[in-house]
Amino acid sequence: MGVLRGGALCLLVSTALGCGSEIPDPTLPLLEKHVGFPDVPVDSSNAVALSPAAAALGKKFYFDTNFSGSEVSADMLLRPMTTPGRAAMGQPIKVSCNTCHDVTKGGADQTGDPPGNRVSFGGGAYDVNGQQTVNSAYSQLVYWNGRNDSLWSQIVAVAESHVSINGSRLRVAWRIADAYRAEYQALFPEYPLPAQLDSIAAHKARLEPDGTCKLDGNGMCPTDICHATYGRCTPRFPLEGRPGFVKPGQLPVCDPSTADDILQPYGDAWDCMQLADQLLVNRIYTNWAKAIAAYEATLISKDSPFDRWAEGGFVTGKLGASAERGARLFVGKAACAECHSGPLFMDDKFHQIGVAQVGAYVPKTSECPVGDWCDCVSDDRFEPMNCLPIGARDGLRKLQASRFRRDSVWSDDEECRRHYTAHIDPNYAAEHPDECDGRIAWYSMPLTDELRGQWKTPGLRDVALTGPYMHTGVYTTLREVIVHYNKGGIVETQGGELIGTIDEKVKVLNLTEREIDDLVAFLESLTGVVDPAVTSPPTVPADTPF
Amino acid sequence: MDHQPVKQLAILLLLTASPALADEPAAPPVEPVPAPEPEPEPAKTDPRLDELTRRLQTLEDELSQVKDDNTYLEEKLQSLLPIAAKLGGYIDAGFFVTDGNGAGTRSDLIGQFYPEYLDKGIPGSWVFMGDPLSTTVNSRGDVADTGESRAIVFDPINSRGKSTFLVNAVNLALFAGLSETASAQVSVDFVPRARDISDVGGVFAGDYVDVKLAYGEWKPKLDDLELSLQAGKFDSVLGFEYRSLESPDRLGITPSLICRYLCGRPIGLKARARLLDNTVIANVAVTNGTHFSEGFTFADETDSNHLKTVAGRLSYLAGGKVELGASGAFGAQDQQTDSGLYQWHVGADVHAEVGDLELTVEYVKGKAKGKTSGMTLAECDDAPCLDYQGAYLLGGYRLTNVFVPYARVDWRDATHESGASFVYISKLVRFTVGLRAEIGTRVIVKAEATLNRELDRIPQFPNDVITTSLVLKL
Repeated sequence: MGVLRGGALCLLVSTALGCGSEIPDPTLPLLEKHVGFPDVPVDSSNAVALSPAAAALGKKFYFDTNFSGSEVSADMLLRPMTTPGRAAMGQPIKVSCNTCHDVTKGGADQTGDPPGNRVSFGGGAYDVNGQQTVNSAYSQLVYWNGRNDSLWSQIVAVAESHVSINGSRLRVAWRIADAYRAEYQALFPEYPLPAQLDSIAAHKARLEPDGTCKLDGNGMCPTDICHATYGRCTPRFPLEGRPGFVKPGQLPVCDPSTADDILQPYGDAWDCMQLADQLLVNRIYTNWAKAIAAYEATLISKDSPFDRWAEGGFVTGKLGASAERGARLFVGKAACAECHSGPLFMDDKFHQIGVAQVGAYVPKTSECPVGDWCDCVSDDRFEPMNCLPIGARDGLRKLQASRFRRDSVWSDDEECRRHYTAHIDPNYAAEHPDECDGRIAWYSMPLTDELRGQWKTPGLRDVALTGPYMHTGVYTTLREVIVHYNKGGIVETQGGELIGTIDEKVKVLNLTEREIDDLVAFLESLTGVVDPAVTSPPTVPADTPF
Repeated sequence: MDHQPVKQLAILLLLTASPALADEPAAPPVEPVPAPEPEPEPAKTDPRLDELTRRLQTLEDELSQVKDDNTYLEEKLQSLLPIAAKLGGYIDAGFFVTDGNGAGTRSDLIGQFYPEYLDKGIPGSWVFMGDPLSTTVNSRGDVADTGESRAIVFDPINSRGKSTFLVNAVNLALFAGLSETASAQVSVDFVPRARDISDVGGVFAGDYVDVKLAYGEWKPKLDDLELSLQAGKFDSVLGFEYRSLESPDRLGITPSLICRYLCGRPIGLKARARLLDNTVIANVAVTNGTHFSEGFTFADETDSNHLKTVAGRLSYLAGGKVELGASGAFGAQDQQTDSGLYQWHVGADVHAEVGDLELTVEYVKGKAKGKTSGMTLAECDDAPCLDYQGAYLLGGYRLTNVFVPYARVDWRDATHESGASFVYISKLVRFTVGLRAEIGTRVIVKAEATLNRELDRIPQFPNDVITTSLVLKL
């Protein structure tokens, strides 16, 4: 190039006109958009979000397996699993948050445990691959389909999911009372634990073998720790219990004849509780989640080779030739940065990227008929029908109906809570874009069909650690992911269902094999370091015999 | 056995037999017979006449022999006529060097020059400034490199800005007479190219065959009209440049910037008529799609819709030296399944040959409207839009029997947009100078230099070309 520019061509052709010089390389300004790791965003809904004490307690919660329930061997559609679960049916699964969100591996479910599976396993089989918790505090919405607007509300949702840790809010309350009482009381002094939540051993001593309360000396139901419902004297705070699935607008009804099943394995224990007691437990439950969220907010991965390269001024040769070429492709030809933008390499938006619903436990819309638990036929924004395969169209509908939103009674964001009733109005959202830490627009966002098949853009920091990839876990390696994009999506549906319309920016890229390798090298350079003090396993209290 | 006694007996017998003859009576006297008149002596002739006579006889004999031979050959020829054919072709090899990375476009990565496209949601790396075909290096119209182009991705040379020797093409042309009025013609390029066989998804073609022409032609015998009907894959009917696409025929090396719209070889039916003492030529074609060249991906050999493209050209030859032509085309947009999407093209051309000077001027304008869904910020997302106009002036002067210097000025202004997938903004003027040397009847050597100048908001960037061509006619 230099030789030519230096003379030959100019002399021969255009001495008068001169030869052009190359356009100044704009790659660096584009790369600089990924520099400048921000502080953890303020979470007004969680008063302890930045509390070291909360993070310390939350860390123990994160690693504690006592909040998990038993194996149900069912998938998200409540179908029996066709592969082995984590434990035998009905046996404790003994998982913690860290089991599927390993903080030493980007906070992701990399193990594919049990082997051969691509979606995550808890008490049953998920419909998606677990997302990473490292750097998750930077996301506006949480979960692949965006169904939660804070880390703590996400934790609240998954803790009682039969495919996740399959726990219950009463179990959480009792475990805290039994093993974390002092730390909890110190962290949440305004929400003291009720006296009835003394200890599990004491509680069990007050019960008959059938789970009812022992009557007092007068043959009466002891109303301080128990209450009489439908002629039975039952504890005010059972050891286990969670709400059944009820449609918005409907209230749970106490019906002791309710049979145990996958979704409500503890019968109507929760629904038969007194409302005031339910509120007390819910408060403990959300505080527990907020402590875990405080810990997750400390899971920050930075100081990656890319960060060091940036700090050094993007000097050629310092990151490695392949990764540097990959960086150029990332912001240039491959246009990855169109969605994986900013220092976190994500845009906090939803996209349909041409990944089909494929996999043993990944549902299709045809598997969710009207009236079933997963229902993709009945569709109304005010009546979530739990259509799992359609991604953001389902998740945002759930967010708009969520009882644990930032404007709910469980939130610490008073300003956001105060205007709860206005949040259904998009005009109000437009006039107050910063309310609820900027989440307000999601609450009244029209649930158009464009959202069908869209899933949230994951951040790419530590991405080399977080496989398998895509919401279905369909790809094992980063190379497969890039090949997917290189072909404009839909590499192989394997009989799966492709829902919605592929994003206009998912186009054939014409990358060569070397360019694909270069992009992989660049993505691998995004693997950072999480403070070892944050990731080292804590000392968790001894197990509680439920 | 002893033969001596036999011999002696034979002699004796002969001696005794002779006196017997003498004893016979004498014969009566015979009347004297007048002596015959002596035959007159032949007239004395001119020896030269004799010689001529002799030679005439020889020639007549030879002519007779040749006639016999010819009759035999005619009979053989008649029997072979259905497969009679003429083979031809050429080898075109060259060397080229380009400025920059060999590509004719650059991305507006940060929306520095055309920010309006970033506002439409098109990634900056997919906003291309310049002309992807401005760095052509041979008569086939191959570019030195396509760079990071998205619409034109066929990159058979992939020079990455390096100079290289190159066999541009090995051409094989076949003409076959089918009958007195019918014939067939085929032209095939064998194109040797590199291929990274380890790159399964690579865009490098490797060696490939390009069937450029394959058509049958029928020329019915008419008294006052010279009519030609063609079917198959034939030359374009638009403009003038298509007449000299092959390396030996083309004055210079590289095609013009508007050749992409004129030089395609579409598939369909074509009629050409010469009228009024060959001063008027009319061409009409019905084809699958446009007459765009195949290297330009807006075109496609097979059709994707039912509406065919109708194209035509009408020209007038003034004074036997200046040809004025006008052409146009209308049809469904290439590569669209919707027959309701239209594409049109108009053009005008002038070609003059005055003494040793040859001049050609062409202008084209056209549009494919495309389709915008309105669902996204980007336009033309349902069907790409193309809006173009361009022109060139080409002049050549036969300096000697060997050397023909030439020069060309090209101009092109086009926008090609396809949703968020890409947009090409081409606004440029191109200057080309070259020298053609014809060495004998079978060897042509050409050298050419091209300077590209970007217009409008497009910044100048290095994309100039020097290329050469050695054409050996087979």
